Amino acid sequence: MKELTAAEVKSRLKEIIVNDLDANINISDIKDDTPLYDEGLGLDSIAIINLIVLIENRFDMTFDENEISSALFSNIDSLAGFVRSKVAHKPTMNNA
Amino acid sequence: MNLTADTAGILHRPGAGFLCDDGGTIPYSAIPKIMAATDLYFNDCGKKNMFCLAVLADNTVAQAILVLYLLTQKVNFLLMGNYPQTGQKIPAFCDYILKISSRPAQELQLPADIELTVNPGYIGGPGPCDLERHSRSVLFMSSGTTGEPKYIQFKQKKLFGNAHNCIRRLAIDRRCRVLIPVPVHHMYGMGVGLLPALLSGASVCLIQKNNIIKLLDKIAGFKPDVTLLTPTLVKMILLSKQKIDRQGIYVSAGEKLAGGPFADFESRYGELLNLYGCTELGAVAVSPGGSAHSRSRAEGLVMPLKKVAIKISRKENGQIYCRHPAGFEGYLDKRGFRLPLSPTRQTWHATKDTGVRIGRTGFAVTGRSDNCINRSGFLVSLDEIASFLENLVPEINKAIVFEGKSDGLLAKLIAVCELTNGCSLDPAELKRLCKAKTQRHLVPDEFFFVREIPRLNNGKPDRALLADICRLTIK
Repeated sequence: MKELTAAEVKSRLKEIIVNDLDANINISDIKDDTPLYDEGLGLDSIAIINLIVLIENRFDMTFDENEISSALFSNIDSLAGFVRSKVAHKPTMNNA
Repeated sequence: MNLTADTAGILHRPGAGFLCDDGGTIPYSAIPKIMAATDLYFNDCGKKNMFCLAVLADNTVAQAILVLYLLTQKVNFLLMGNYPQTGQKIPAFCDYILKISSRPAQELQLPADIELTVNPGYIGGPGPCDLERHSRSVLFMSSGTTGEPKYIQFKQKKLFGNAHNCIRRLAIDRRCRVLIPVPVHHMYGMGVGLLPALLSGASVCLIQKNNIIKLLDKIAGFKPDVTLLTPTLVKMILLSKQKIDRQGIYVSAGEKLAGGPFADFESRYGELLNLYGCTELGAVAVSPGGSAHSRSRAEGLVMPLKKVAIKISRKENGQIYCRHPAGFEGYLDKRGFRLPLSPTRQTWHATKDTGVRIGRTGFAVTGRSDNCINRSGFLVSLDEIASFLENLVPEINKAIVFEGKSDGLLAKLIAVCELTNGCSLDPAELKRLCKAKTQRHLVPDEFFFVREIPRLNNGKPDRALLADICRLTIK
């Protein structure tokens, strides 16, 4: 599978937030450094859990049991960096 | 300062812990100085003439100290959220509105951060209302209703009594760490969390605008002995699949949590206690603790707290009645007048919950008797949502709202709307309008439109048939 660029990951994350979360957010509201909750996009717990599930499904990856943190979910930039790194280091069938 | 015995005790208790919020930490030893400065401020503002303060509370250390200060005073105060919900107004019996500029704990500057303004809608009191001046009353707002708000009046002494019940049952002491992610302007956050923790000298961590990420961070970092949760938060922690090393006690209030999710949570994270209570009575009953009772806990067993009496009425489909030594004084309306159905000493409070007796003293809650459900911690009247929809747009002639199958996190609300002849509505547009006009927990998830609502022979809507139709349509 072709390695995703940082811009592609960010763009896909923004699409998930706009199109798949029941959060009434426009794509223009999301800058790379906009906080995902509180005074930023204001995602609540349900939206965040849905976002986690959608990221796992769309990027075919899983968040390990100590990986979910406020630093990771602070904005699109940090989340995209993490997702990109997870996808790049995902075990393949050959080395599994 | 005129401190009550309770609050005086905590401020001079050796070994007491610290208070922290999203921004920082302060020790209990710093509180007396802050409270003395706050007292000077309120004296300058004419404290002795204040009637009832509307406190726009948030989950910060400054707020906790301010509430503690107010509890040492004769002034009445109403606890409201700092982020008023759609249409929420300051009631006319409050003469002042009090809020604190949000600032991290280490930059705490009480009283400089206090914003005290006159309520322009104040109607004057006492005299014009039933709330007495200097009656040491603490008021809570009733939650989850779309109708006229009710204000639930407690005397400070009763609130302390309730807190002591929680201290005993949850074994909170000054060595404890209590994590409070739920709002402190509600009875659960204040009466079960903040007040018992403060009265014990326990360390407190408050989470402002909680979400699952912040909660997981604080559980990992603060390492709480007692964490207040809601069933939704419990389910979210399970869904997050995150590992939590610390095995303290978790408390869940709101709708009863039982069965699979309960057992899953206990096996992965530690002891989980269901707490049964309501704003009117505070904490009523809690699951028994200890590994010997894990099966009973998962089945929903709760045991009444000290001096709390429960009876379950067979004649009323198992409605739970409660006599509580530290219950509320009564309901007030927005002008401060006493509403009917206020309790008298020795009366049994009809909880409108239904339950079954287990053993001699225990019981389990089985549901509601008044077409209400618990959603996101709010008691939601399905009839009142239907009424809201009927008054929202002229196209809706009649509405029926019922609970659908949950998607695992929130109780799902389904609205069936009978449309006025020849009219049509777009479900997405109606949902958007609902979101703009009311609180999120009151917005139905699905809308169905019918020309005529099917009815039973007695004229009442055929809810069972409607539920079947909607279930088939969703499939």
